[in-house]
Amino acid sequence: MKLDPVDVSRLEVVTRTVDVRRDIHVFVDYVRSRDVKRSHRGNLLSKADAKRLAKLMSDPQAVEEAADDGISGWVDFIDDLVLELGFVTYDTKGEYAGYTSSEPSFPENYIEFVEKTYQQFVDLSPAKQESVLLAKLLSRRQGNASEFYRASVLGWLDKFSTGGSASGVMPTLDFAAARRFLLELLANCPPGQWLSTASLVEYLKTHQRHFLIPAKPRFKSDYDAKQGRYGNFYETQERWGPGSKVAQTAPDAFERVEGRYVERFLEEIPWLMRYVDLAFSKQRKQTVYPSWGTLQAFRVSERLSRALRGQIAEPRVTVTPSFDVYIQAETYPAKTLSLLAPLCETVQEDTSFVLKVTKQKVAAARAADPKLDVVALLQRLSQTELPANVLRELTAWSEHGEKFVLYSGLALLEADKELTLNAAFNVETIAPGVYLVRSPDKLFHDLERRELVPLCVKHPDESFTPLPKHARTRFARKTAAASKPQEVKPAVTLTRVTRVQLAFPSQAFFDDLLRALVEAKCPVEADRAKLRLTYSKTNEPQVTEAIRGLKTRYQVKIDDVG
Amino acid sequence: MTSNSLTIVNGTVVLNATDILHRMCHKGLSQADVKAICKARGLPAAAASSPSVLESLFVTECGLETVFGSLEPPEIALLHRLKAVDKPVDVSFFSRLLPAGRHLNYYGTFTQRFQDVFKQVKERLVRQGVLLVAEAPHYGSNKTQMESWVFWLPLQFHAFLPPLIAAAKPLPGPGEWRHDVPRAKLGTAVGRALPERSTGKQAAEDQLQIADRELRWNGKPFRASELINWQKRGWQEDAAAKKKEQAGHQDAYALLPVDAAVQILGTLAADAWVDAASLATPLEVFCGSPIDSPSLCDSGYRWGCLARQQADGTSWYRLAPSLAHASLPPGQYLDTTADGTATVDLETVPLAALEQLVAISDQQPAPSGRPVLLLAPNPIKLGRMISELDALPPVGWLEQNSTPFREAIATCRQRSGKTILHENLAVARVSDLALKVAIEKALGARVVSLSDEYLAFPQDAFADVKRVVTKSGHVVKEVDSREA
Repeated sequence: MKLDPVDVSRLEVVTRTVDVRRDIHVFVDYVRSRDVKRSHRGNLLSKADAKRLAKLMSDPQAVEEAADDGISGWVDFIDDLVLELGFVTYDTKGEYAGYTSSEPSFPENYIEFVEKTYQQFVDLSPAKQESVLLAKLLSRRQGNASEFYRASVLGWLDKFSTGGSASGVMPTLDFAAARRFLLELLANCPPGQWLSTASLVEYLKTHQRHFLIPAKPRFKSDYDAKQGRYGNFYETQERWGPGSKVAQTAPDAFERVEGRYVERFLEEIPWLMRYVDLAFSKQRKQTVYPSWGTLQAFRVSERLSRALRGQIAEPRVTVTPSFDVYIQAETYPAKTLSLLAPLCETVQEDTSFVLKVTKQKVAAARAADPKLDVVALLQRLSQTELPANVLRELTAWSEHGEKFVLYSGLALLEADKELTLNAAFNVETIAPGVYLVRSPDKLFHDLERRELVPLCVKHPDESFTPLPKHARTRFARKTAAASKPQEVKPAVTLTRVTRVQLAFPSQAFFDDLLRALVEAKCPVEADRAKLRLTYSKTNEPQVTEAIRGLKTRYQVKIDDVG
Repeated sequence: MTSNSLTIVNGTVVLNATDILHRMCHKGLSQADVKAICKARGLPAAAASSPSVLESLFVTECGLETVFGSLEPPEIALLHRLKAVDKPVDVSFFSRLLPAGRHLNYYGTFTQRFQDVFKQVKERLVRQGVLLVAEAPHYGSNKTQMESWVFWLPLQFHAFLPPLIAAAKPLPGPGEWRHDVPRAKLGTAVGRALPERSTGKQAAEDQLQIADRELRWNGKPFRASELINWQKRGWQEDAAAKKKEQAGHQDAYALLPVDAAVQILGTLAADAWVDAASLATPLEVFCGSPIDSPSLCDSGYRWGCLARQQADGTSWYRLAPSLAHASLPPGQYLDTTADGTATVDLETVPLAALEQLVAISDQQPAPSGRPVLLLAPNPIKLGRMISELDALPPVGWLEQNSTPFREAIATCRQRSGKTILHENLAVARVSDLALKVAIEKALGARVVSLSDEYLAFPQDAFADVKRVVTKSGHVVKEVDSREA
């Protein structure tokens, strides 16, 4: 096969950095570590989850899309792909809430992680993983969900109208076979060289004219047969408007149908899997819809032929004397990273991965899994011998995991050092007469039965309970100052109200002053029977003022009697 | 004035006294209500014009004596009951305030049933200024306004409430009371029959017996309160049988006749006695229906719950002295046999002392058939009570007079404090000396060194310990008890 080379200097070469191989693992990591509930209506990811996932994934446009629309095309694509791969499961059928429901509802629809399927995938070799992923992509989206009608997650090109796409030749086409055939064809192209899309279409027209639509399609009905092999494809002069069917007899009918498909196929799976680079025409103005001849050139990567031949190499791991771990991999090294993650910090994650083995992580990993042989693991992953200093330090670090051991769910027994303790209770003899024990309730009854007058002390979470003065113990006793817990004194704010009581000699003055105080809106307690007025000290100025007002009519003198 | 935090039960805000007072003075009362309150209580006119002044003056003692003096005995009894309830009540509480001849319509809505009651309580108690009333806000519930009204007797008024029974009479002497009733029940433990004539049949669930060398009430170690409750239950069953039907319990606030009688008689002064007729009104108010008070008092006397005294040709009653806490020198109910075995006399032992003896010893009936129990020290029980032994009156006597008890108590005291089981502690093995020192320095008194490698610290200190461990480049390895 010989295709025309192309100078792409006048074309627009588009670079997108999405990594589908990595992002499926990112998605799985995200949903396995939390409860992700899908929307009641639409069964979509929530906006919050979509935004968080967009930040974690490789598509830089996803963050903006998720922030604006609550969903990103790329996150949505990975969401679907992970479900189809069987790494997660959730309800996709829903339930109709009532007779008037026009679409199903998805109540309490949580994404569940399917560990077995995922682990089986991760345990595969990189070549096999690539093969599984590719097979899934090739087999999905048939008929009116194919490249003819459905926009590619990354692509630019517009699509045919779906009107009538469920009939005619479309439901009979085997897109999976056509896609695989085209991929095989591309794998035979010289890698790294920009080639003309038109020449590829020309080659197909000449040599593989029926790669997509068979020479004699098996129509389901006479009506479909009457529509012909191109009965599903309508071109329009405007973006929206009545279209005219591509005539089967037109000399360029192949270019207008199969040619358009080749362009749209190139920007779907090959571009998504980074098997090709693409160059588009800078001319944006269209005279016919869908566009035709916009994707003008492509460049095939060496990765394609290796992927199809199962030659994707295992990741290469190198450990340096400075404890850096370099991973070189053609695909996302999920398994290697999952093995190294407990031991290393991530330094760089790009075309290659750089990690750093740290003492803290190694010790923690050993503490969590005492059987873990860190040295053996690194030697197994690395094709070379580990540096001597790394070997020495790793051995020492592994032991750090045993330096601090916390015992939970156990009790402590202080007793006579001559005490013979049943092995069922004794976990460890810490010191003479001090035992780490299990089943404290049963042990207490056993000690009681032996008439040892045991004392059971349940310490509060925040401090030690002081023990009786006569206790023989390593813990503080009630008399020791240190044993006193730091009491948190409750804060109390008292409100002091000083009441003043005035005793009146006459009813007349009592009534006059009370009236004056009421007019001044001064709160007082009045006892008419005893002729007494009681008020708060804070109202003293108002009372004084009221008395002063009555001094024109009375000679007022106040005797304080205590 | 209102609290910042709201407690909501079944959609209704639970109001405290301060909230109710504030709501009543600021929006719960009409101007006519306020004026009526001010007039009844003799509050200054300023209180009528200012809700704040009314709020401050309402809970003073001003005018209370006059208002309480004007209330009818059932109203006073109802206020005493409200005082005992000690929480806000709804309008149904006052249903027994309806005048004679008027009854609740049990088939209407809540509003229809209690409309007249509400009018009555507003007229007789709210407008007299003795009761707080407010509408409790409710959210998300379909309560009517009538159901939302809450009432409360201010705490400040409790001291001014007139006596519940005005006709109480001071009489000298303790009167007579049937202390033989609980003693007879105690006697069943040593095989004596319960005299049926006074106390009816012994219920199957009220078994007092010695099992596994322990005096037990229904299979559990003897408790004085169980015997007292048995008396009250007997009294209650007796009273219910005579009335043919269960009295009270017609509404949520009604008490059983026995509980009502105990509560009412509990308010009497030290030397005051009351005749059965005077109990009729308060009993009816407390129980929600008329009670045959002479019969109730008679049953109470026969069950040993009430003391009785005759004067002026009438029987006078009050609560019987407590048998549980009678102060009697241990020598009057404890004794030793010829072989040194301690005994306790069931005819004289205070119930609290018997409970203490059960808690430290083994018991068995004396072979003589007398109502006496033989006591033997139980080291396990003594160990459980070791910290309280000095406070138990019988223990001193037993130590002095019973050799087995003296020796057993001495052994327990000698062993006490030497075997200690600590629970809820964090224990860690630290095999790096520098790390151990760093933890001890960081935690100070919150850590105890158990040995060269082991530390113990409170659970909450683990966060601090973990910080030190991490800072020093180590990690925490956790070992669960199942793995250990």
